[in-house]
Amino acid sequence: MFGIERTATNTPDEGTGTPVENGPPPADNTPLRATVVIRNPQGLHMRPAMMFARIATRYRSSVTVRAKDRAVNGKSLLNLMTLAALPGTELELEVSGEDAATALPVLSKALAAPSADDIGPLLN
Amino acid sequence: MKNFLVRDALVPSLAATTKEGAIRELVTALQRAGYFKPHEVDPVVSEILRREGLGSTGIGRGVAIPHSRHEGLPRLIGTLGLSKAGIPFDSIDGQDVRLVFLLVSRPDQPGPHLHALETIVRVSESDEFLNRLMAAGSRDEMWELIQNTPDPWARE
Repeated sequence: MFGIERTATNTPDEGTGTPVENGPPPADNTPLRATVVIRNPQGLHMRPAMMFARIATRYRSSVTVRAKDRAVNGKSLLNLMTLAALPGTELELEVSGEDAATALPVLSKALAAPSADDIGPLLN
Repeated sequence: MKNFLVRDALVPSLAATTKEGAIRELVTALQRAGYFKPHEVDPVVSEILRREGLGSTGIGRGVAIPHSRHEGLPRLIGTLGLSKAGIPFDSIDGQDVRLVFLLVSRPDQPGPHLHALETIVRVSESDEFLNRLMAAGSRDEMWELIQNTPDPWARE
């Protein structure tokens, strides 16, 4: 469902909306990335986006969600809603920071969840 | 916005002072505009309130987007109510809500709903737009502003 790879690039957040503090820059500048396909039949609507942002803010790492043509702050509900990601949309998740390795699998699972109810347990 | 907001259901001055009251007032406005039958108002209000119970749709900056899905609609419909006094809404920033965008979508059409959410989020980033909307004293003034505001995502 999603692959994890290391890359050496670090693209700045180009999100819009109310600024939400993202995490500190990574110490070694090597973000972790995963490609995630939206499986929720209603797309990334408000509730899953809110739950994803809530999980993302628990990590110190910066969390960026990238669609084809733009990148947004994954800790911001409003930023995520501007993606209007339909079912089947491929998104790239990028996590940079000291807890990136812990965060990436959890955030990938949350983003790929078929229902907001499936994200609930990840919040615990 | 002009594609999903129903002109005849716009409410320039909400009488309600509570979340539930505002939602009921706006669903009733959609019903009077011909989009629901009278007996559908209660179930639609209940469904929107159930959704609010899962997490407030108050997105901050005085804006809320209560919503639900409903079978049998011709398309996504929505309306907007303005509250000069502000309504407690459990918003993410704790602020009372002054602009309530209420959406009811077809269960089988997530695309228009996602684009409507995106549009509302993006236009809400503009202080000028929010202030001008709040200054509207009539349905016609609200509609003129809505009509003259292009959907931000459509420009890309």
